[in-house]
Amino acid sequence: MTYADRLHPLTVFAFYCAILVLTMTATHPVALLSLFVSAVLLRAVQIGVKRTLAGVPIALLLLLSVTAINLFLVHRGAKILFFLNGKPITLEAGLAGVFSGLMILSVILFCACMSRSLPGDRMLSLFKRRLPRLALLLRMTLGFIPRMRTRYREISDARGALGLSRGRGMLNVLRARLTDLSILLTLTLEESMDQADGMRARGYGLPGATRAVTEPRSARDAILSVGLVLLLVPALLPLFTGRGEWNWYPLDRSALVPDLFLSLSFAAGTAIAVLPILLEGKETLKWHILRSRI
Amino acid sequence: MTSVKTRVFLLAFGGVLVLFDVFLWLRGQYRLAIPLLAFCLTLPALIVFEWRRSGARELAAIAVMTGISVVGRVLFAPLPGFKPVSAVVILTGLSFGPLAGFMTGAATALLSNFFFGQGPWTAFQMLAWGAVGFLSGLFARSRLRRNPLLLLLLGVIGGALFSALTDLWTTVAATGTLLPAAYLTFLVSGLPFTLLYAVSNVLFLLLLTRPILRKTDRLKQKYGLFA
Repeated sequence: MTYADRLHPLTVFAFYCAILVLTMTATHPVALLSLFVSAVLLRAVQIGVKRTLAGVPIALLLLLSVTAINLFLVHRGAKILFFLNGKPITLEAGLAGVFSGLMILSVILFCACMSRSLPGDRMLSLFKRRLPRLALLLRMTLGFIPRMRTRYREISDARGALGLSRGRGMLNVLRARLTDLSILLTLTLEESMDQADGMRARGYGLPGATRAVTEPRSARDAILSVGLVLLLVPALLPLFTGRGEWNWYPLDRSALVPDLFLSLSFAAGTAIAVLPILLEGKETLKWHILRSRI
Repeated sequence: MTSVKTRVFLLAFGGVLVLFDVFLWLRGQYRLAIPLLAFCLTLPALIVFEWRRSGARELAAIAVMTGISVVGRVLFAPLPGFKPVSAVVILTGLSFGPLAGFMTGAATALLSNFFFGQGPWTAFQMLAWGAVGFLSGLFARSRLRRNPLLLLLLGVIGGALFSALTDLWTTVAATGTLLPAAYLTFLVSGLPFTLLYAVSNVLFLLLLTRPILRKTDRLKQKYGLFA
């Protein structure tokens, strides 16, 4: 059980939303770099260093391709490296590409962390209150999926054993798979009607229904939410005031070192991303210590 | 029935999101503005679905169609770009109408990305599949429903729309702007994939239309669904 599991899903969701908004609107290299480091650390805390490092090759590939895209498609900037087909290839475009790549990687990492902290069912319970029908639809489907996958295997095994899905060639294999899928549809559609009747028999759609509260809020949620708001205000100030917006074209090196206002704002933004690392990391550390004693 | 309080809340929530999006747009923060716009465009359909009064059976039928397309996407995961999702979504639209088509498409994107990885691209996939389901749904009561030409057209539109929207995300993520040259480059370099999407959609439609429409028509008749 991770720390996030003990919080109300809304708290966890709000944290990750704030982090994602900050990451996707960050323009300053210092902010981007600090958010990227936090993303890597959070991932490492969640799934371990070894598995995080396993993603390095694909991350490098992404970084390289984004850099290349910027180098060859954006021709702005003053520091010209060389000319290609008469178009200037600039250093600024390359740097902008590297930091775009870091931003994308951070977003991907934070999203991966979010799906881990907030698995499907807990995510769905978020809009149970205001969008109950949508939540029910998604939840029903989530219930169908594993059953359908098992049943699909049964169908294809049975048909395979009967020799009905034999045949070589792409088209035959495809046709066999789609026939299996179609059989699966027949079975589940019919079954789902029974399920729907069961729901109606139990009073689905009747007026005056109340909601079951399965996700209690605790003092921890309150404290973290207040903390989030307090950090979010300074962190979002640059976005709302437009101050300290970074521009690659033209590159102004003197702006690389953030002034006090920006430093404080970046610190607040990074703190939002670091807080989950500390909270989750504490649990992981505790787990390792306790386990080694047994 | 949705209560007045919930309705006000949802409208206010949507309004705030749209305002924030406009603000980001004016600030030139396209990286967040464009995925948010895609999400905002899916909101009306989600809210209408919530407010429409419809029975448990309709809900169950949509859930099954979504389940089939998610399972199909997972099943064909080893083959990149070759997925029956669009075909199932189009056929759901053609059988159950625009709203059901949209919901199946959007829910498939959202749920299958629990397996494939969530991200800002989820919003674009939700919009692309939702839109193609909605479009197909407009023909649900039309005589053209089983017309092969219509199916061909929907399959091609589905593939093109999916490419156009996901490349929008690639462009804005990589360059931070909506540089037309960059978008065009992505569209052109992604052309083989767009073609693959379109061809696979048409192929899947060719193989699935008859069996699926037969089943859904029978279901509609037997249980009086989506009447």
